[in-house]
Amino acid sequence: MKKEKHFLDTSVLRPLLAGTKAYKKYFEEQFKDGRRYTSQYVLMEFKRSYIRNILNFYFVLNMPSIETAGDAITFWSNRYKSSELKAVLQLVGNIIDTHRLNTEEPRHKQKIMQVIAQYAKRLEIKSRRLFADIGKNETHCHRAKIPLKYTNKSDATTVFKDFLREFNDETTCRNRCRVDRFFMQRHKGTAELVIAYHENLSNKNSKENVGFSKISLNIKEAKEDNRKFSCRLCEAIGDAVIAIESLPDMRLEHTDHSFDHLCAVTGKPHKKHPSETSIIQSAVSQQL
Amino acid sequence: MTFDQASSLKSADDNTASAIKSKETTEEHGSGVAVNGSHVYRSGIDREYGGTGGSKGKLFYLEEYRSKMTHAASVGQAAETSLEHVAARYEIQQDEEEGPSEDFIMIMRSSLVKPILKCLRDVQHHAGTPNAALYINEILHSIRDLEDKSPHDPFLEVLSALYMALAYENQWADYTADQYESVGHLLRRLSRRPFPKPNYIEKAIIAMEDLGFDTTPIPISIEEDDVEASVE
Repeated sequence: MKKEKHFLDTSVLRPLLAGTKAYKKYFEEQFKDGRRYTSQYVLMEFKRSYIRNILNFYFVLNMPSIETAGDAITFWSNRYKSSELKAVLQLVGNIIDTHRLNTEEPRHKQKIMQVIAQYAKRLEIKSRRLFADIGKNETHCHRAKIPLKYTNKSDATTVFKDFLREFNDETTCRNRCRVDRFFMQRHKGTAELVIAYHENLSNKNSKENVGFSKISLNIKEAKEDNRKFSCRLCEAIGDAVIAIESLPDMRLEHTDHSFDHLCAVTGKPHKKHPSETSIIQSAVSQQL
Repeated sequence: MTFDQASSLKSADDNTASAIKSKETTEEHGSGVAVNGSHVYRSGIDREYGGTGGSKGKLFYLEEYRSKMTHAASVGQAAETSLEHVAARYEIQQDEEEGPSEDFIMIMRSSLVKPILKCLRDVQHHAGTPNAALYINEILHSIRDLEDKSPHDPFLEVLSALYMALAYENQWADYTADQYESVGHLLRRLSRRPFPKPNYIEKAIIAMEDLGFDTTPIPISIEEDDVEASVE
């Protein structure tokens, strides 16, 4: 029997690598008989929303004026928006607990940096090595090609610094990518279908449709003025890139409502999985 | 980095230290000394350390131990001489620029990784029982010890992965004897390489994952809506 091919969107890749035990178990069960794929673009999204935040915290901790991990946590809490904040603080808190380190102890700062670096590195290694690549990067996303270059000699700080410098250089990344051509030439027809589908959609602002509405409006605006294509815009329309890049012989696995509409336009197979909260709730109710 | 800290943490192995001390005395007075049947010549040491290997040259003792290592049947056997204590007593120094030497890495590894491998063997008989906690505790303690004493050892990348897979929310209780056996083999193979290539480290971490050890068990949630909202 032919093995099913699962193309994992970032919304599924992330919990597989860093979700709760119950959610990981759910996905393991779902994909046990098939092969798992990701794309360079999906990995880029994972690095952008996850690895980069951990590395940013690492460099906050690395600042000479920051004496303890507690100082870094306070600094981070005051500076960053909620999703980044929650993600990093959750991770750091758990790492410190598990390694029996103290956030208020200046002597533990270096060791906390070391274990955070090791954890971030493992996440990146797992994301790159545990899944097969679909072999497409149609937008020529330059960010997706930026590696974390580990060598025997280089220390984590140098590797992370080089990576972040290149990854955060949005001007260079945008100059080297072809996201404008992707939407305006190569997949022009699909982009127009997405916009038309959205215009015919009733109840555009419902919870299920609001994500797709944002994607469609952003594509429409960028098509009218291609200077709007940027790495920041890609954060908003990434689902469209992933849905279009998905292959017809693979099932796109996701948790986002927007793919219901995007895959209806592209006509490619997909499956929307339940949210982490609902899986945990059902696991709890089974135990009761 | 010196071994001063290690020295303050551990008492020196009296037998080994006194044996070395007696050789030290001989060395201070004579030209060469027999170590396990072979000679270590002062001239060779002087050449290696740019002529600073006089009677007070601290690094001399590393050379002395290296000679012992040559004659030991294995690194494991060499560890029997409690080199950690020798190192602590005689302040073997690392060059901060160059990083730790191969000798330094292997000496520290031989004394601190060996107990980990032994515990991974022993815990197989107690997997799934509360008794396993004793061995797991020793494994975790040894890994933390190695993190303190040899923080630049690349092997720590793999041990740190094992640490997280075992320690987080007592996941150690869920692993089977077969899993402990397999991970023990994996670590033993890798520990023989002083500076494994990054590729080998990556493969070892993935091999642990394939064996069922979750090396990134901490759940983290990022709300996509927040990311999208920030774009507008």
